[in-house]
Amino acid sequence: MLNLSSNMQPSLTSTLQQDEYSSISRNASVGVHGYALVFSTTSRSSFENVIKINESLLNALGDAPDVPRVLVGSMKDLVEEREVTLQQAQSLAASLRIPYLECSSKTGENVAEVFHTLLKEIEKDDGLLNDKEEDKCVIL
Amino acid sequence: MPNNPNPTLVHRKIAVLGFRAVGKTSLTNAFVSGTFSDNYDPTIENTHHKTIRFRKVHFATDIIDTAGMVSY
Repeated sequence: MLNLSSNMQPSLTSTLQQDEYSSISRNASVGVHGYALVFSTTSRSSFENVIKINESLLNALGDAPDVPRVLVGSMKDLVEEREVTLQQAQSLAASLRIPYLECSSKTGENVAEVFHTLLKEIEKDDGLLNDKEEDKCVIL
Repeated sequence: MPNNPNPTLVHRKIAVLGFRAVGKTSLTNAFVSGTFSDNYDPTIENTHHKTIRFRKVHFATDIIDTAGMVSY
């Protein structure tokens, strides 16, 4: 009996840790049209974590494997501290089939593009942002 | 979607996710108000509103700046 209860302790801890990991708040998951998945180009661990964050997001949403997302590498200006290569980030984005952008909030570079790209992903299927709307709206 | 010659107003809600201290708040603030600060003050959760004019569409956008995910 004593052995059993001491055996259970580690599995309880690990469950709590998983829960903590999928802690996407209700407000941030209900009715949300798209997600910016951000890591820092200066932090290898944040890059590894963004993979898990994506997984826990897809788990939380359950039936939405194609939920609009963009992968964002931040702190692009801190070139000397860089820990994630452009190629590594691009191949992650390609494997997730989502766009990748690098930006710097400090210089403002690519900041607006992050949000514009996400809106484009959100509207990809309904033609709202299509330049050639007249080509799309054909009703038979 | 119907064709509409006038600017269309649509509501969209987006969320910024990521590990702690990657710059979610900095990204959101840079976009919403064009500001930047080097100070780090962890976020619980904030929602910002910005109308984004993009091509012919006006997106009334809620941007949810989330709490950073913790390490495991």
